[in-house]
Amino acid sequence: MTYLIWRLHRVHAIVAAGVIVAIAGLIVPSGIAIANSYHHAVTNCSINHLGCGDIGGIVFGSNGVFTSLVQDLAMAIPLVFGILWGAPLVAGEFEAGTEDFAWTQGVTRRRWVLTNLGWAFLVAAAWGGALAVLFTWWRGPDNAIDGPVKFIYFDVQGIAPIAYTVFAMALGIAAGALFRRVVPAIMTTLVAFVAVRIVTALYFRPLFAVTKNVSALASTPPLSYSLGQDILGGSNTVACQTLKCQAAHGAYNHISYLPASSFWPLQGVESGIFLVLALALAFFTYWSVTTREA
Amino acid sequence: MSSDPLAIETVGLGKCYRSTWGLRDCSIDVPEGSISALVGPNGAGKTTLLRLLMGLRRPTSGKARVLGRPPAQEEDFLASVGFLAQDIPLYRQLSAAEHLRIGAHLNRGWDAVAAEQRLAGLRIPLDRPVASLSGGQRAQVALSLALAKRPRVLLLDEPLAALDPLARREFLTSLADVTVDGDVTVMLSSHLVHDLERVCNHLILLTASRVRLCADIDDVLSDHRVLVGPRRSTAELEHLFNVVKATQTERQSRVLVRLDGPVLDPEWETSEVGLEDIILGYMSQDDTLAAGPLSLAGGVA
Repeated sequence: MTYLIWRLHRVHAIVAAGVIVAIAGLIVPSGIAIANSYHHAVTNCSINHLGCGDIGGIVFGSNGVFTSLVQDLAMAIPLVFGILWGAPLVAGEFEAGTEDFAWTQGVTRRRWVLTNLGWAFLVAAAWGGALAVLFTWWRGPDNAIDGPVKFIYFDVQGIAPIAYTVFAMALGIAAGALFRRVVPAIMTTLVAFVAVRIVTALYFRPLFAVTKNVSALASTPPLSYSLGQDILGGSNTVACQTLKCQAAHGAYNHISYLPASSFWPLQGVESGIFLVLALALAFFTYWSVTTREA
Repeated sequence: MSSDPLAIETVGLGKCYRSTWGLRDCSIDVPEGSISALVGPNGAGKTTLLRLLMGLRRPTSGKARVLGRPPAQEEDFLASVGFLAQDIPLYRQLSAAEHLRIGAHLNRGWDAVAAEQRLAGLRIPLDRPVASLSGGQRAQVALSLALAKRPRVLLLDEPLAALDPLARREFLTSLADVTVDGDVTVMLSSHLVHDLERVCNHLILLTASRVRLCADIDDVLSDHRVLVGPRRSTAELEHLFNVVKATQTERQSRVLVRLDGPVLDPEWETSEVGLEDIILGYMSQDDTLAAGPLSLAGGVA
């Protein structure tokens, strides 16, 4: 079974390995450059007391464009996995009619689907893990400057990329098992992956937000990700020109944010959600392959 | 042959697709070691029957038994039944040698040596992607793969459809060679009655999702006669025999009958009839099957 899977997917495997090597080739020099300039900026600040207010500007002034580009790319890569590898896995067999070959050999469909799913999940997890390791290292200085919980920053590091990639793979395979056509499977994977990612990021993560009232002069804490702030309360603040004036009249800042400390709990919970979804999709695929007629 | 053990047995087997029957009330007995021709027009249920026997589809009604057990997702069953699907599906980018290696990994009793020898004997390149082979070569590769399993039952769905006459002949010769010992039971669907007659000894005729005939070809031939006589009603004949098809011209009646006794009426001139004409007679019974005879013309095309 494993030989068949390797023989059918070795090109995918080689390309995926090539892509991760290429990403490493981009990320590692850039990461070293960022780490160096960060180190310089921090040293300059602590010894010469220069540029302490704008370490981020100093570090990313020269690396800025590259930073956002690579991160945005890394956000999309699990989806590519689901589309190019997951979606054709079952659907491609049906389009070529080769399920009639594969499913009439001496292995049961049950074993066929379980071995396929097992390897697909393993490869997706390993690949997502490699991506996560690279970006977690690469983001080190920026985590210290901007924090790790902002949208996009959060999504490319820690353990979440593993869960996203496994989920994308499971989604592609399940959509292929459902439609038995590659193109509808790809479209479904595309729409569903983006939708689930956006819904969890926009509606789920804020459940972990800290909401409180602080002095009108204060803001969200450093390294946190602000979800909103509002100057409220106070009396006769209409004439005020400054926050100081508003504060003096009793106004306060109503803030809502994801603290940096919520990074790991959020990573754990969100990874859990995506892995549970991936397992549910795998179960559907198992049911579809073993029960539906060929 | 009726006393032989049965390789394939179905009782009231039926398959309903949404609102139409793909196969209906199919009861057949296929003796072990026979080579069955499964014939019928397009959409008659040939593919449905073969896929039901392989366990790729589930019956809506009735029962099927292959080698004494219902088709199932079990390794023992899968190991004993070889299947070659319509359109000869293979992994296009892989070579015959790679298919053989895959087969060796997926099957317990895999006879790679015999398969390689067969393909070498046919001068089929083992190392080229099967997509670059001709239709006939691909069919031979697929047959070799199905045989390498050393199945006891071999189900072939339209393996001749894409082949030119020469490749067809070679394929059938190969099939006759491997089944000569009688330890493999073959069921082979096709339009090409003419070709099948040479290698098959058993006939299953399907029209409009129903079984019309399931018998030894020798028995089919000896059971059917064409009666020619002056034009008259066939009512009397219908009383005595199973009238398959009656054709009336201005002066003559020509009737294909299935006999179960001698024809006593001296007005009828009795003559033997070929397999193809018998099959055509059954196929043209239904007006809805106007395309039936045309599809049989494949042997000439």
